[in-house]
Amino acid sequence: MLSLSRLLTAFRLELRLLCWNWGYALFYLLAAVWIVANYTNEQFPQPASRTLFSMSQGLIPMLMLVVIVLSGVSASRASRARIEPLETAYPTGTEVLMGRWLAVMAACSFFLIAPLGVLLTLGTLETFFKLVPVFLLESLITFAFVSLSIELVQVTIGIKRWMYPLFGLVWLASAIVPTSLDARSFPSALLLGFALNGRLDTNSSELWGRLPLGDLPLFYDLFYLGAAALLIGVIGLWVHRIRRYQLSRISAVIAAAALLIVLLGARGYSLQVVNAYAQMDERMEFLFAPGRVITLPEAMPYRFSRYDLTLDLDDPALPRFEAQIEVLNRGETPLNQITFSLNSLLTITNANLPYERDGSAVTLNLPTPLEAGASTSFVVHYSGALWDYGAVMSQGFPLGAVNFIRPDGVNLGCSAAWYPVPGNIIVGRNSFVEFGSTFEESIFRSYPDCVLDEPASMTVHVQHVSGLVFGSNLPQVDDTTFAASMATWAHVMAAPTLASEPISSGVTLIAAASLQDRFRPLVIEHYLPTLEQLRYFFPRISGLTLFVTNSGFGNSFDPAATPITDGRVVMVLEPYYLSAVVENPFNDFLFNRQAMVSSLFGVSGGSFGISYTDNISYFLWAYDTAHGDSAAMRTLLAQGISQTGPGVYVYSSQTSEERYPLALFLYQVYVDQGEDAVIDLLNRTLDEAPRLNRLPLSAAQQWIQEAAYDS
Amino acid sequence: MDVKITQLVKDYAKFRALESVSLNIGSGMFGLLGPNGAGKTTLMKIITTLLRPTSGQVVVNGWDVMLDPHPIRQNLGYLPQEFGFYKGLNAYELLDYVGTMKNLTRSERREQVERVLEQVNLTKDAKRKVGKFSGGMKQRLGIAQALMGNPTLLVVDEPTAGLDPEERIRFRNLLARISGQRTVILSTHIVADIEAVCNQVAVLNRGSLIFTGAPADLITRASGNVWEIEIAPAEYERIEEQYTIISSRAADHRMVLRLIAPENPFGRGTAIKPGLEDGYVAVMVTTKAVAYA
Repeated sequence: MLSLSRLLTAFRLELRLLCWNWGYALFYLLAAVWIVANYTNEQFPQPASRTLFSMSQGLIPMLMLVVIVLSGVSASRASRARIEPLETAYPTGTEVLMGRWLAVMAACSFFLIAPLGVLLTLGTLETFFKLVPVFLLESLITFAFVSLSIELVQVTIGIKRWMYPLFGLVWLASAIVPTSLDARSFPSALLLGFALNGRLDTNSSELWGRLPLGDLPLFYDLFYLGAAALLIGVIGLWVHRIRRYQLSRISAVIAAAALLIVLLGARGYSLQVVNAYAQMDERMEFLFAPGRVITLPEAMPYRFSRYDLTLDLDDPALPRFEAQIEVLNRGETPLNQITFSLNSLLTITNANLPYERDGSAVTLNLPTPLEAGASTSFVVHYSGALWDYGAVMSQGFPLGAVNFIRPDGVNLGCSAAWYPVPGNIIVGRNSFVEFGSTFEESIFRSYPDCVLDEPASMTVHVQHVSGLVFGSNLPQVDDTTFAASMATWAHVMAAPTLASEPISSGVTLIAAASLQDRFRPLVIEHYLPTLEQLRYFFPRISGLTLFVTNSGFGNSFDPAATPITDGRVVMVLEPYYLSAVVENPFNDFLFNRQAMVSSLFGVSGGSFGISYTDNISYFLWAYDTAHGDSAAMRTLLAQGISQTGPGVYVYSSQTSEERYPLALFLYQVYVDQGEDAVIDLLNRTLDEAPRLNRLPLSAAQQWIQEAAYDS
Repeated sequence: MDVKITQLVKDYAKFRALESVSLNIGSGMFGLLGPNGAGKTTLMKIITTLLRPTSGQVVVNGWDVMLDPHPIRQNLGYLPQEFGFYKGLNAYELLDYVGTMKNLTRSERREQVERVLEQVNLTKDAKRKVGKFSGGMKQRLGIAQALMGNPTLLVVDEPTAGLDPEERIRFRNLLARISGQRTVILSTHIVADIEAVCNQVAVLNRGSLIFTGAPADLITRASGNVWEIEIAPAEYERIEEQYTIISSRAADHRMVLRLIAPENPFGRGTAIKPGLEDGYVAVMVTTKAVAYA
């Protein structure tokens, strides 16, 4: 007969025996010191989500070893103490075993106190309570699985000393084998990595939690929850058979239900991975289909000059869209057809013009030819649940979805073609931060295909927001409407915890509400002054929209360079980088000034982006630091930015002359012709940026030098 | 509490540890004698529900060990041959823990822990860590834990093995004192332990029950067969081949042997009054003779 008092007594006694000894205390102390030193002594003061990610990747697998040892010590204690023959004759059931197991769980979970303390110091309480429960839950689920596995070994064959190295090998194998297996052949492979569940935190963020990973973590957790329950059931069955010579119906039911959960978890996980691969394969086949012609908006003889987009989330599982679009024939001949791209996951439900569709390519047939220079409008209604893994596959599972609409969050980048984009573009492949598949492509591609070559008037209106807070690169009109008269792209993001806060006139910070307090001072102290300085040289800049989000525009490792919208520089930064600007001048240069100039010019990555934005940023840095004093500027340009201090990346060992020829050239123009000449040259360069971006670097530099002389 | 054993068989793979054992055990001290490997511990384990019999039936106070092991455990005190304790606990904590395992309430535990500590004369050592106990103290603590819950059936398996003579006598007396209205099954291969305290005895040999009855009946088995004979040391081997020697002692340059023999050995023996050990050896010899026959 089960007895709560026996369970509690067994729990208390085991906890005391486990924890109340110098070995545990010493080990705990060492672990706590290591954890605090390792996760607080970072080069950058990272937000909690990033630290949590690091912990999930490194700490939890390490703690699994602790779980193995403590479980083994506990499970074999009665046998080692030779009290087992006495205890076996007591009128007890599985409750004693469960009490001891709970004590092991408690003793192991104490090791999470230090990480939780660290996390508490890194973010707000809101962040803490948003991220920590999931972290705790998952840690405990896998702790439970591991400790129960050890318990099963004890009750069935008994733990011997020689088994510990074997347990260590199993632990090692669980970390290595699943990731080395081909996930295409073994879609459930990663499920075997009980120490790896932290990996699913990869794209965890204050904003979306783990939304970008969809249901994968859920299935993973379900699998291990079921596995732990299955072990409880099997142990119960075994113990009951040994102790009572009978089948335990309760244990049998638990085991059966748990097995079902395990199978559901494994199936769900595998299906997700299989689907992700299928999606990726489909896209790749489509992209590289023989004869596939990619036509960018700039190649089309027409442009879309006005967008009125409505997103209706009345049924979040099946969002509906309406796109009213004005088309201008900018060619020289009448148009009979209009081709645009729309994500193939979105189904057209209605259109006011007859159309044909082939994948993402939609061709409208105009009733009457559209004369050159004339405009017309069309309306398309479409709907669909968009869930795009972004084709980012690594280590057997999708790292993160770029574009999605879910009841608990929305992230619609223009690369998803969630609205009609002129031409037949590659949908979803190139987010703002994705590099090209070839070196040349990486260098010269500055925008995703979806970015319009000529600005259009864009309005996005959201209906039935159902508790979501929206943000967009388009200036906000009201809670649900965003509009720009000169925009080349539209990105819509929504989450219950999103906050879009005007920091000052023209500067908007879009980030998780829990990060606003942390980042607001950084924006005021670092980004506002830089923006003001930039506006002196580029008067066309009307403001700054700063997205601080990971997994927002792709799996970004660099600040994303996005085209200006209505004169506003749009910057996309991971929280990690924004935190880093405070550390030293070089980080401030990289993640503030250069990122802003990159966004202004709309180029990032590759030699062009580095040479242009880096050089221009460098010149502007010298100008601002020296307050325009040419002698001081020369000294600064010669010395360079201090590249010492925590968190500094030294990209190059080149001299200033080698690395910053354009900056030095700008300085020369400044000395020779004055400030106005530099402003004129920079703005002319900005006007020509899209064209220069496609030139070889030497040709672009030559153009700039000639332009300086021309002026 | 009665223990009724019927046609009990226990096989370990190809080895038969118990061969069709039938036995009734009533209240009082019951001694189970037998050489090492006779099957005593196996029988104990089956009675205490720790081992599953191959066939046959063991019913303890109406509860079948296979069908109702739980109430048997509830009324059982068991001291196995080899056991240990959590060394980090003191005697009081350990017994309190055992009391919880035996479903005692807090007040029952307090009362019983103090009582059994007193019974086993460990009250003074109640707060000592059991890891620091001597062998005899551990045995007494073992019996103390078995007494927790006031069991009506007490099973003690080779409790005096490894104890020095003084501790052994003390422990035997302790068993006699606590037996009261209980059924106490004492398994041992030391005849003197049985002789001192048991009112019923059974002898197991090679898994078979070869005797059951009162100690006096066991003694009777050797009546007229126990002799004392004085011999020269050179004769020893010849006599040992022919008879079962129970004991021998040296006297000047001669040896005095106590042996079992159906008739006066060499006509030189002196008949003496048998003891329990003689009776035990006599039934063992008889069994062996039957087996060889």
